Amino acid sequence: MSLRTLDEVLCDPVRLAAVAATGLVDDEPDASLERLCQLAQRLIGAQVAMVSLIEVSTQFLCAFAAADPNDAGIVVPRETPLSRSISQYALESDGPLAIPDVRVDDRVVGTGGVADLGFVAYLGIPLIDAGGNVLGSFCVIDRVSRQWTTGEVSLMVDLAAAVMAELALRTVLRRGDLDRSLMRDLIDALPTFVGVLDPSGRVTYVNGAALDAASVTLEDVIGLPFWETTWWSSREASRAAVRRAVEQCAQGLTCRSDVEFRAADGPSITVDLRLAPILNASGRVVAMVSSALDITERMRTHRELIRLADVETSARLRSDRMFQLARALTGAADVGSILQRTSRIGGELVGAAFANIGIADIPAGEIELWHSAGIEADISGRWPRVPLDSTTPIGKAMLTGELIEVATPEVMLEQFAGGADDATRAGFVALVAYPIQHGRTAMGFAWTTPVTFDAEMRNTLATVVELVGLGLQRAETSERDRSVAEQLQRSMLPTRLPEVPGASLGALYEAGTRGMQVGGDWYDVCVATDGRVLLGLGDVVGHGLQAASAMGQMRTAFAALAPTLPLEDLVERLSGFSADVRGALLSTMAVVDFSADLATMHVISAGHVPPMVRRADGVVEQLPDGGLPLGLEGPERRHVVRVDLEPGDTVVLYSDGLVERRVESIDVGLARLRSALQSADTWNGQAIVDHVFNSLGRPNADDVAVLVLHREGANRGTLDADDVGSPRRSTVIS
Amino acid sequence: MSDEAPILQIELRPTGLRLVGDIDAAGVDLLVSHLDPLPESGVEIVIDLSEVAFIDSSGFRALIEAHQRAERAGRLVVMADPSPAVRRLLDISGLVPYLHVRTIDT
Repeated sequence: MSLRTLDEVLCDPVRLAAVAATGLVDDEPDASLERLCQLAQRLIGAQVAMVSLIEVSTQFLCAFAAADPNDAGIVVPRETPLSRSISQYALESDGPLAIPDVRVDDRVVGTGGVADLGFVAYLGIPLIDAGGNVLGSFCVIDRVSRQWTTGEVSLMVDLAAAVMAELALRTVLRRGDLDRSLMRDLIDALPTFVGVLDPSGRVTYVNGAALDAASVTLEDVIGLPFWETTWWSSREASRAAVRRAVEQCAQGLTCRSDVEFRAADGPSITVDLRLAPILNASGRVVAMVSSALDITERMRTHRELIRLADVETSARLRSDRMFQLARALTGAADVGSILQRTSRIGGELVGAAFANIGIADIPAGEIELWHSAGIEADISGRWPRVPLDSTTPIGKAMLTGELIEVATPEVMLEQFAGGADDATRAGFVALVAYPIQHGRTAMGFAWTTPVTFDAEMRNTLATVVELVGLGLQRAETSERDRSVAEQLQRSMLPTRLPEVPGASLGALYEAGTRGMQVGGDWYDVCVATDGRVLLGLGDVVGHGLQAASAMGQMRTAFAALAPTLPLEDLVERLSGFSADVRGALLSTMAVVDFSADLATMHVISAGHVPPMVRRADGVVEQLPDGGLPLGLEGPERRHVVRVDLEPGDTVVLYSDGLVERRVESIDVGLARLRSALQSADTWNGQAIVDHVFNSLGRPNADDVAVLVLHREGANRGTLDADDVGSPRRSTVIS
Repeated sequence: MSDEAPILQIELRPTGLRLVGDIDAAGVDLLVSHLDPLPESGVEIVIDLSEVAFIDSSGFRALIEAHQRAERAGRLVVMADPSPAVRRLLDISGLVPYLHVRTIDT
């Protein structure tokens, strides 16, 4: 690579933007990066480990760890000219730079820097982001000449991946990685208007949905003050409202206002415009994010309700309840809570005892049903799904797009005989079913006392159903937003599991379904240099981006440490690590250490739900509970459980989201898992995972992670008599 | 929008707190506000868990932090009479040897 090209790389604006976006330059040393430096320094046994970022002509030290406290002096000043830094060579390489002795190495001799400080050996890994930009380097240095081993190099590569994960996450968390492809893709994937402004209110980015709405290109709006952009040009009042909101947001406040929005063609619409500041560590506004939701429909419904309210007193009372319902539905993020709120408020409005919502599952040719309270659980339990046809009122309403009224039990028996018995058992004397979205969603109500379907009742029902329809649309949008956070978490889980000879592996992660909450479940599989296979699965306390960040760091620490450390040391190290990572304290984890021949395994559980072993003959063993969560020190060492494995045995790790349900003891969930494993009629790791998840699902709407290793080689036919009933017990060995 | 019944109720007692309901992410802030600073109830602070139906990891975290604060202050937090469901979750979480769990007989 010529010098000119090196200059080009140094000055690449995309690279520099990525360096700046980490927010680390000129900031305080970062605690989690320092922790990774400590790990590298101790594990490699080097004098110093450090993370530095490279700007145009300087190198900035972000974090370091030193064996000798006196070496702390080398970090002052934290900024050094690049010409005196070995890290500049990181820009030219896409792999590790291992130098046994800088005094005699042709590549770096004469650089000064490290050598001037009395350091001789250098091992550095370039920090390369997802876009291929070299942001800086992660290195260890030593006072004596040393030959770096391949094990040390690969450990540094793994830890550098953890550093890079941390940098990427900081970028996303602190500033929004707005110029980079990931965040841009995420923003562009959002179906709603999203724009990014600089602290003075000028547009730095807007997503595709926003550009499409006004048929403009990014070049048309970039750099303009937000209030002068085309979207608000239809009315002076809108421009003024947007400008006020931007000015308040620039002071650090989150603002919302309803403003008129000019679409490319057609009538102008009303949007709920939200502006939120993004603050740096010192509380200064570094950017603003604007988002806008189309609320024209909601406003129209509100106006309609106001009109109704003016008609007569009873209608006003009704519309008060309707307002309550509209407000209640605004806060409902999923079908379950929409139904709960509708059946309570809407049920009162029309005097119904029961409500349900049907959602078409077109590939399955079925309707998924959500039932409100007000009905025996064993009756509603019989109707989780019905065929997508006209044999039920809700199916008929969905398919025909028409209102289906079942005014008496006789009509029910005559037209919908299949459900008549249960309708009678539930005490229903009348039912209606309304289409919400033709062919996709419908809603039902049932009465236990006689009811007259007059015009007023039909109007009320129609309005309730319309509000529910709006609520469902909004829930669908929030589901899409949630999936953005989920993508972030997924990006930190292994994209593929390693090949393990003699084993079939499977894994699954499903995010929870409560609003924006994405949890902290993680898993990984490592093959150690001596052939041992390590499975780890953990659960970080809490939800949201902080949990996702902590989870990413726990997983990368596991991946970095597992191949080289004995099991007990590994867990102790991770326990210490968790105490230092923001949000990772008290997380739980189960680690399984398989011998290379997969004939034995050793397990440590740190407060985690007990791993299971499914024997080839279908017998399921649940390993002992216990072990303190990570980050706590107890009076005794952690227990190690040893289990001997035969061909055909399967080991299952999972997170509590699979078995925990708040209305029952966790033992009931564990029993459900054991019986699901017993009934698994497959010998493929991924198929076992899928079978377990399909059998248990997400009982508490929480995150679920499952990781399975199946030891291959069992004869699928009849088992030898000798194999059956031979006692194989797990033993606690320490 | 919170017209549902409160998930966690906290009753103040001369010896500490009595908790009723579910201790999860929705109720944990309320719990923390009663445990930091620790209640003024003498050396021993009793947290009655007999009417707690469910506790998740964020709830455990609040209890552990209270335990650690008490230890630093030379005091003691006692988790009293956990319901069977909570006792089972304490077992699985491995916290019984760490926290002071006291079961009142009969």
